[in-house]
Amino acid sequence: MAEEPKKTWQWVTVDDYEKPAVPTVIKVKKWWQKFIRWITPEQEQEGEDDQSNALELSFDTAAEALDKSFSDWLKDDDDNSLRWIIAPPHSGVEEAVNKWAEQHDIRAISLPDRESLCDPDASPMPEFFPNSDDNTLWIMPQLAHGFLRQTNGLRWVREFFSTVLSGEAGKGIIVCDSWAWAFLEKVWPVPVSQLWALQGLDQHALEELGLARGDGRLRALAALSRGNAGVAAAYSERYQRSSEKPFETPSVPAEINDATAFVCYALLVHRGLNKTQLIKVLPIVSGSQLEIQLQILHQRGLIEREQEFWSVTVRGYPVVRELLASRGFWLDRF
Amino acid sequence: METGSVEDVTGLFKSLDGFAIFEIAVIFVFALAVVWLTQRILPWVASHLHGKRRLYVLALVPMIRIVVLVAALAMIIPRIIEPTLQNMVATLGAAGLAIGFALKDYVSSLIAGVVAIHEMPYRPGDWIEVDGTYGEVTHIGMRTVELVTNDDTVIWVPHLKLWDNLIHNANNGGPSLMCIAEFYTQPEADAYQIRDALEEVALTSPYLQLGKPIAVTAAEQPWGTKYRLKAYPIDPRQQFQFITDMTARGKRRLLELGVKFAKVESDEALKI
Repeated sequence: MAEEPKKTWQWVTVDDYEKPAVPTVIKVKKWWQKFIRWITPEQEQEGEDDQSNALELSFDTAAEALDKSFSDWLKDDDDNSLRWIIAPPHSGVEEAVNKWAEQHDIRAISLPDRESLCDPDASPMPEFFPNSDDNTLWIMPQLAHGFLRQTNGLRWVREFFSTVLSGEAGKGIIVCDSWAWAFLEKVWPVPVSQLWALQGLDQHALEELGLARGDGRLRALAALSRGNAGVAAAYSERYQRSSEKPFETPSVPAEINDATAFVCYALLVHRGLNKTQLIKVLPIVSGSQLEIQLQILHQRGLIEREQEFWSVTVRGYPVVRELLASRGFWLDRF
Repeated sequence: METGSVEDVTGLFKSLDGFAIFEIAVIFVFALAVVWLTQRILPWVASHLHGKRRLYVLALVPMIRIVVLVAALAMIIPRIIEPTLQNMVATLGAAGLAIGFALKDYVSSLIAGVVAIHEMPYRPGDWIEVDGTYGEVTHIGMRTVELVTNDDTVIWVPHLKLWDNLIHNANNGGPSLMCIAEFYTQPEADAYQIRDALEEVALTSPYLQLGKPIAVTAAEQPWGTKYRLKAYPIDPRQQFQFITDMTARGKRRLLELGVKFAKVESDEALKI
């Protein structure tokens, strides 16, 4: 049965989300590449990503599409329900929603100070707007920044769930990273309705965006990016459309251990952490070992540092996701 | 009469010419080569995998070996013995006599090895305890099962143990292996507060398999209260590190809450 082409920017509930299909030939190629990497001696990899040809995406259209999807809910003053928006890393969902929120002058809830989240003497509480009875709409810009996976680090987010799900906080929109959401579903296992996401981009949608040309190339790009617009853009070759060479992804270090995977997972779940926070989140990994892992992953182009925050790179994301999947980690749905 | 018996025995066997010996040698060498290769390649492939896929690949090793050896025997025997009913009864009778007297334990282990492959009380990658020894099954041989303990000691256990010993299998062919971290507190401590704190400790461990449940049980003892924090690591090989992580952070958290730990005078008291 032929698949129905997807629109480029389409907001759907998470249940309707579809990942682009991965053709068998791409799966076989992937296995073959893995096998070659095993048997051939490790080659030095250039740490820097060549993103000079990557297409920069504009999320204005996504913001407009969101406006259409939420317009009825927005206008209905009697509807006090919540909207949850799940954002896979680098997908541009957060940017689109924040742009839309700015256009509508929606007030953002301030995020807690992560440094004090784990302090046993402090009891950080979410600060909602007073007089929420007047049905003022609010937005939580990134719930992933509201917790640290440490013994005392979940109090704020628990309080947040308790307040918003009881209806005390009124009408609001919560944006949450997909990895953080997968973890938070275990922290507060109450199913929520109105869980939204941007539909995964298939080859037709990618072509519409001008990310690549040629059916095989587009399918491969859709499969590699798993329908994630940001990842697809990072691997796009606008000026090499006829190129048939495989996508050059960063490679995983040959000698990896639990600590390597823990660092990657922690960075994804928290949507970036600084070194102090990483030490708090991974006390089982010694400080020197943590430093070593950060340097190895950085050299491979899998993670990057912006100011003091470490996060998984856009080109490294498919590789890191696959690494975590192969080691049995709890994954996001996207 | 005597001459007739000798003729009867020699009549069991075919006359082996040079070509037949060559054929048998080729079958034998080929079977050994396949077994040797699978015993090296599959564990190597498995070492690059994790979770279920690793266990499935490891479980193929003894399976393939038994299939190859049975096939090789089925091809070799008709080249040596005329496969009539009379010949087979005579051969099996003689073999049974030899086994009964001289090789009872050895053959019992071999048969138990075949039963182990069929019933699968342990598979490569499983964590089992036999006769008080706990370790990971790294290889299932024809006669023995090879365990590696947490102290990196290799132990060979004859399959014979399967007949009359209890085999404790902690993960039973899957990636889920329950780990238990124990805490001993004075009886005055608030049990529900401790339960909540310990559940949080497990939930925030990087080793935790998030899809599995976490549980805390408490039991009153003469010297205080014993808490058991139960959770599953992502990979069974992480069990000792997982318990270490839960113990270290659990102790820190309980100290933050002002919980006083019980002091137990002797090891015997802990066994209660």
